[in-house]
Amino acid sequence: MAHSGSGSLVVAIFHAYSGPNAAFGPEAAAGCFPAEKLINAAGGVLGHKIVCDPTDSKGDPADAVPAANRLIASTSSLVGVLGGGSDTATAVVPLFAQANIPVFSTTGQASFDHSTSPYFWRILSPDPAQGGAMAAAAKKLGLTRVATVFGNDSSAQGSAPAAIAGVTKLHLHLVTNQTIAIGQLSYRSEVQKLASAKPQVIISEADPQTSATYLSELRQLGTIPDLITDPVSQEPGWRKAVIGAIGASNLNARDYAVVAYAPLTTLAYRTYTAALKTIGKQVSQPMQWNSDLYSVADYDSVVVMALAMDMAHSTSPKVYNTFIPKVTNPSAGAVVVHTYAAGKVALAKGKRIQYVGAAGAIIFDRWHNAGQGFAIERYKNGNWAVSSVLSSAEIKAAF
Amino acid sequence: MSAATQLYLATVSVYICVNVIASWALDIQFGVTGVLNFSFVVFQAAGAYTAAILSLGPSSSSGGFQRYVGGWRLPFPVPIIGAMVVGAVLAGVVGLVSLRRLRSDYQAMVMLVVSVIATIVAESQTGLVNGVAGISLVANPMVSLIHATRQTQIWIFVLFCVFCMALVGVVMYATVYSPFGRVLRAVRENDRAIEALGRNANRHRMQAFVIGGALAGLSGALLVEFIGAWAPNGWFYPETFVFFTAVIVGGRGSLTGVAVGAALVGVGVQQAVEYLPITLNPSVIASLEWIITGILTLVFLWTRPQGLLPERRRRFPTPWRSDAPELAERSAATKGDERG
Amino acid sequence: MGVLMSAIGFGIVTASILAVSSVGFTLQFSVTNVFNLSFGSVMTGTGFIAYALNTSGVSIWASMAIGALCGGVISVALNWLIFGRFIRHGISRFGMVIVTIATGLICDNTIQAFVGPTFYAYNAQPGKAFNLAGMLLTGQELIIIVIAAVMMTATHVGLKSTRLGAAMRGLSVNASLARACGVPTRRVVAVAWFASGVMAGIGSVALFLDTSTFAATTGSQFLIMVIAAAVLGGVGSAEGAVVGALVVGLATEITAAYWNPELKDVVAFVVLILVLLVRPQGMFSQLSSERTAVG
Repeated sequence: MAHSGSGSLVVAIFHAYSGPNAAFGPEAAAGCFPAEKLINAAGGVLGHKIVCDPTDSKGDPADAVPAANRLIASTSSLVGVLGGGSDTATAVVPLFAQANIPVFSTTGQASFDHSTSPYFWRILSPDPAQGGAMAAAAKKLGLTRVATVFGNDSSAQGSAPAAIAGVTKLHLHLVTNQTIAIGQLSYRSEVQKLASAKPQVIISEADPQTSATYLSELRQLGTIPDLITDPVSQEPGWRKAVIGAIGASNLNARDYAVVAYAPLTTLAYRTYTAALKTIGKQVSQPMQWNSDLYSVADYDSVVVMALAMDMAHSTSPKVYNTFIPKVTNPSAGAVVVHTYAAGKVALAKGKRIQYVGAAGAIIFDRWHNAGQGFAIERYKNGNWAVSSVLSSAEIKAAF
Repeated sequence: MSAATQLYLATVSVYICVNVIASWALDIQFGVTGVLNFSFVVFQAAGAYTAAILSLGPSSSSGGFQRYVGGWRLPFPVPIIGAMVVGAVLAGVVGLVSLRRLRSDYQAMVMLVVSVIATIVAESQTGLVNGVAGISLVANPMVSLIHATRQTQIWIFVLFCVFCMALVGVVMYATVYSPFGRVLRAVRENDRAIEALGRNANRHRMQAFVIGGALAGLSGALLVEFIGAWAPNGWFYPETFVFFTAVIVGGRGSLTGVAVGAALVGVGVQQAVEYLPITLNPSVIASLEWIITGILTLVFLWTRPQGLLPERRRRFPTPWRSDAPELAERSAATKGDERG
Repeated sequence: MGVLMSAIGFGIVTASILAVSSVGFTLQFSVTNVFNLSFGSVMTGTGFIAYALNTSGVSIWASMAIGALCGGVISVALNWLIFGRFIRHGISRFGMVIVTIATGLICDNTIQAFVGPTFYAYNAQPGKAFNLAGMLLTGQELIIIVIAAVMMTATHVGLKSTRLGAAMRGLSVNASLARACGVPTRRVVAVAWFASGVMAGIGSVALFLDTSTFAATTGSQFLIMVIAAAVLGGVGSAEGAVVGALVVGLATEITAAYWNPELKDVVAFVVLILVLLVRPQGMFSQLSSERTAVG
């Protein structure tokens, strides 16, 4: 797949736009389109424009496989893929890898922790790390009576075992441990059991509808304890549903989101949000995604792809793929850059660069995973703000 | 032809084979024998899961990230045969419960409920088939069987699917147009007459149900060995309706008709809709597919209830019409006698 | 005891919502003999109409009432546009099941194309929780129970002691005889569809309040439960539907409290299948045989 001339380069957004995980698609689009806009405004990559192209994976392998094969067959200028969420990654990542297309996945599945596929890249931490960090957060917050409530979907079940194990490891008291069937019409009996166990804090991950129903029924029984949640709770759909159920003040007073540590005040982040504001045509209500970590990671992914192409002097996916860690990982004498434009200029001057993105530094290990540290964030005055950072010793103690 | 185009064509070919086999399976139950099997997709799913857990190694071998029963690493083609057996046995069990003297709409309801129960059990009993996440990393059997390029292996798998489809076609032809097939059709048209002749209509329904279950299992097995993964989102109860539409559009009881219907509805509509230039909100495409499927059903039931290529022997009135035309006419203003 | 009482309380809430919807489903079925699998779409449609009203400032109970009337109109329109025509076209009841399921799919996905695959919530407060003999119920839930009780009583009285009710019962027992006695079939059928749509509307707003969030598929998801309650009682019997709703509501909540919450729906469905094994016509129905549809 040689790419010459001035045709545009396609980055596919391969996520669910329909079905239970339908938020995945718009979420990734909110990362891709700002990157597309900024890269093209800086003159594009080696004279080519970047184009984001959404494809619906429908969130299940049987639909995703033909969709992925069609995408690969019908898009000769495909240079990269954002996608394969936890619902489809194991089925489609090998297909893109076979076609030599780099895939930046947001799946948290542990099966990719030691992925040997050269084309697989993951910026966000895997689910078990997330689960352990949530337990560590309970310890740090001094909350000892812990309940865990996880949905039975793949994403929540990725973090649940590590969270439960972490609670025990940290000598906290696990008062109850619930796995709830997602999408049920009521959880009253589960809620009753939880309330009678009297937890100080609930460590939880579930989809918006499930969380909203569960928490609204919990509120009927009295007050809601503190909540330790994960990046899912920063998704606008989740907040919208839960606020509808228990009210914004209740949620903001209780919710501690444990997310990858990315101080959302950096130049890279400000650049991202400024571009996000202007893409109302491609993404409806774009600013709802402004602190969504998956969107932010997808933004960084596209910028990294573009910088790697610049450094490789090639838009061929097979060629630039090997340059990906060379523009992200720290190296002697590398100039730290926070935007595509700055990186392009530095590369043109023959310098080595390290892109530190909107989601923070990205340091890929030999399995192409870039796990970060974690922070506890709270929602204040219309924004998420870091309230404390979990040290690596605090997180290690949970494993 | 580029490798990518070849892979796409291979994918479409496999999906056509799988859909044709599945639609024939539904046709023998619904088209030929007249059982409204609204849990059909469960049998396909059971076949897919069975093939997966028979061909995968133990669940601990994949790093423990997925949990399932079985994991016996059985060689090709044992997982496929196992899938057919499980499909047939499951159909037998469901048939025992639902193929009794129930009103046909109660029967449809029971089938629907069975489909929902199966989904809840698969999702909540995570140790069974790995819950909502589903099973993945199922290897294509041709990879270990044949030393060739990946591309050749895939085309050999396509040939294998075509072979299976042809085999099923021959068996279906022999069954549907045999005296046994005529009995099944008679059950569909008038089960009381069949019983007056001393035959047990329910036993014949059960036979058709079990044959259909085995073939549905086969279709699931082929699908999972090709795509490598299988999850509850792919077999939620409305999926059954796609196969119903395929049978109705093609022509109930007509083997060639149903094959054409399966290719058109099960694969054609979906692939065609995806090429529509809707880029900003792909969720509309998914809705559109269902809307088109629903409209196709209504249009065919209204204008051409016998389907594109109707069943050959038509000595009975069109199955879609009421048994007695004068009764239907009367029903415009009034309704039939309570005893039917 | 505490667990049992609260489970019973929750079961009664679920049963109230189910009862309104199931009676709507079964009433229309008893008159027209159409097994209407698009009933869930009517629920979703009215739920969204009520949402539009509610978000523009109308109180939730007024939105429920207006939504319910719209539900009645939608239901009549579906019969006029699709079902009635297919019946007069001479389709078998067998085919009619497929017609209603296709209609339901078309409606659900049309709604989904407009509202998108996201979740919505009404702007309504559940109110303070009351402790009634160990059952914890919110003000909102109490209102839902009262509405259900009033609806059930009204339906019962309406069917038993009005001319229209007599006409409906007549149609459901023997249509040709009813017609011969001068029952205006078309009009009674239209009333049945309207009443069923109204109950779908009330049931859906109550349901969506109860689940606190809803999407384009919530109504159809709930439909299986509604039909289970109706079939359990014996389709066509309003009293049966109420009993069926109570059995389903209590079975699910008690399962969730004492056994496995993930399997609570499964238990309700298994109860349904067991009842049908013993009594193929359901608990209360006299209508066990095949009848022709009426449009």
